[in-house]
Amino acid sequence: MTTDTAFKEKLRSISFGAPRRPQTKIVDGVKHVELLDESSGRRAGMESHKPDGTWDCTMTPEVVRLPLNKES
Amino acid sequence: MTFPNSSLYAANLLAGWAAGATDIDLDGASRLKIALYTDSMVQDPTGGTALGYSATGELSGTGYTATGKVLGGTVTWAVNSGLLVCSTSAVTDWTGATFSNVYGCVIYDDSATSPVADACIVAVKFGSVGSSGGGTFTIDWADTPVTNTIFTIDPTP
Repeated sequence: MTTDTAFKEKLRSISFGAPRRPQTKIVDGVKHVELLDESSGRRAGMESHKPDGTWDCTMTPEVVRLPLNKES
Repeated sequence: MTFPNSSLYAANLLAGWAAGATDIDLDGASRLKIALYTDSMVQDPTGGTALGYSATGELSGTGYTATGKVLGGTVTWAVNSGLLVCSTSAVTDWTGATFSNVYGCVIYDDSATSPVADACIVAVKFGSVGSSGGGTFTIDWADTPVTNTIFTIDPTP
């Protein structure tokens, strides 16, 4: 039994992220561009393009629940 | 390899949970660091071996310093509705950031010496590939079950 297998048998699951509502809007000249997870279609992040040509980026973790024990 | 699916570094954490077996500090926010990676990242959390921070595949860009930045704030492990929730009080961001090809991040203990130096704790893959153009690059942690949830463990075997 590998270490990883032994570890996973102790737990049921590990979860990352959480679904978010899609957002697309322009506020005060800043264009918010939604990034989508190609596989799930969920919002995966947001780029905020500002009038000066720079842009911010906000990334969200992928939404995933990893079954770990043998019954999962 | 590409950036792996999100997962805990099991070999490191098992050592961390065995009393006296390691010096990993799972809630030492001042010593926990977070590094960003491209799809050239090589530290597979599920490989079954103890892995520490690696510069291979780490992001290189204006506004980013190799080895990443201190996670900061307070890292909390708490039971919430039967789930073990790891969260942070700090928003993780980089300002003046010109980043591209950002696939995910790794949180590691910058002060750990065993079971391996700079032991990795968790790899978190982003839902898409991130880039920023001189602005602020922010990791927007999950907002459930608590604010800034990094991951949630269901400990029921």
